[in-house]
Amino acid sequence: VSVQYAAVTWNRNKRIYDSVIVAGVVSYIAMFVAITKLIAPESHGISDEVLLIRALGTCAYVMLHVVLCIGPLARFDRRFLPVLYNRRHLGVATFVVGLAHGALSTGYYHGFGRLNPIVSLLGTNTDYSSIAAFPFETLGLIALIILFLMAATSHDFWQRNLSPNAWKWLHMLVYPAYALLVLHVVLGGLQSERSTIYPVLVAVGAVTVIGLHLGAAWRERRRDHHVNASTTAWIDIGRIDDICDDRAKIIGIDGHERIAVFRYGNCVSAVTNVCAHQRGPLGEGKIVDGCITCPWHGWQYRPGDGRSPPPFTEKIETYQVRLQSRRIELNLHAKPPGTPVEPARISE
Amino acid sequence: MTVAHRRGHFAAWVVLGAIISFGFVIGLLSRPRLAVQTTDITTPASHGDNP
Repeated sequence: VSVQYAAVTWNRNKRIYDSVIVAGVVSYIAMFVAITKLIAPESHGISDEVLLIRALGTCAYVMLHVVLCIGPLARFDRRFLPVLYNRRHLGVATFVVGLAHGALSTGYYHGFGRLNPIVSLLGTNTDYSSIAAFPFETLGLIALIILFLMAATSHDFWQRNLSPNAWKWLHMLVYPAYALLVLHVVLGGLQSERSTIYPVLVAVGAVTVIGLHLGAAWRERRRDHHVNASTTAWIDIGRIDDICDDRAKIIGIDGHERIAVFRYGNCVSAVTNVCAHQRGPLGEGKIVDGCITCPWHGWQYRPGDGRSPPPFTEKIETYQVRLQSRRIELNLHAKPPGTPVEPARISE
Repeated sequence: MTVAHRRGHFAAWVVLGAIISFGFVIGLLSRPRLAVQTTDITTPASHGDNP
């Protein structure tokens, strides 16, 4: 959280994270080139430029898989949350490596003629009716443009000005971009490969990404059927002893946003489960320094009124709770964001 | 995540999963096959008989 915009709000964790990304990219490219030259003797006929194009392309492709797997993995296992915290940097790095691949291949294959390289790229092969000779470069170019839009709007400045919902929808374009890149690889590089290892690797990657996302989405869908909102505003949500101190119980209601009921000390408060920042699941976070702390990016809210501590100004919806002989009752009618609600007191 | 985003995620991956699977299979099936030239290596019957 920050009160003013900065290009990157650096801290020790982000420096380590980015150092790992840079070291990983450099190591991958060096190993790709070295191993290809040492192990595959038939590659001796391939120029160093083509080898670098392949190394950059496969590197960006692998990085995109990692980016796409972080989200659902964090849904399944909380140990992935620190990686999620810095996912934006990995996404921007993926675009940069992909751009290097695109620029180098466009320059190498289309940069030595009379035509503008981009015109040559888009106009040389227009056989869109063929599968074997499909102009796969176009698919990669569209995916690269999507990744550029995402990298360019990854800053909190854009998130705030586009609105969190619009920003989230915009960044979900990474999913069609991934589909385009799988087809870019299948209709491009794999068309000339005889080895079965490459199609198998592409298939394993796609099955992993699709399986993790569908699995996480299915798990989330099942959560939403815990409580059926009835005509009465107050519902019983279980015993107070079922909630650990400084943690929450998430209540899923059909067709409604989830509610996070926090227990802290001898108090119980309820707020919406949706963070104002990137719509993170607040109920999966915990109380830190007296504030509900989002597990995704650390945004904080006071449990009693749903407001971020000064000087921050974010607000979230609050809900009324009461205790009936150690059972929690929740009023399903949301209070406007930032409305103070008296916490329920636990009597020992 | 909001209800709309969760539903959007699920729908997006169902559709994209089908598109990726279909494209992957079609792409692999349409790969050009290697042309293999067969050569007749049997010895001509008249070999060595020519006076």
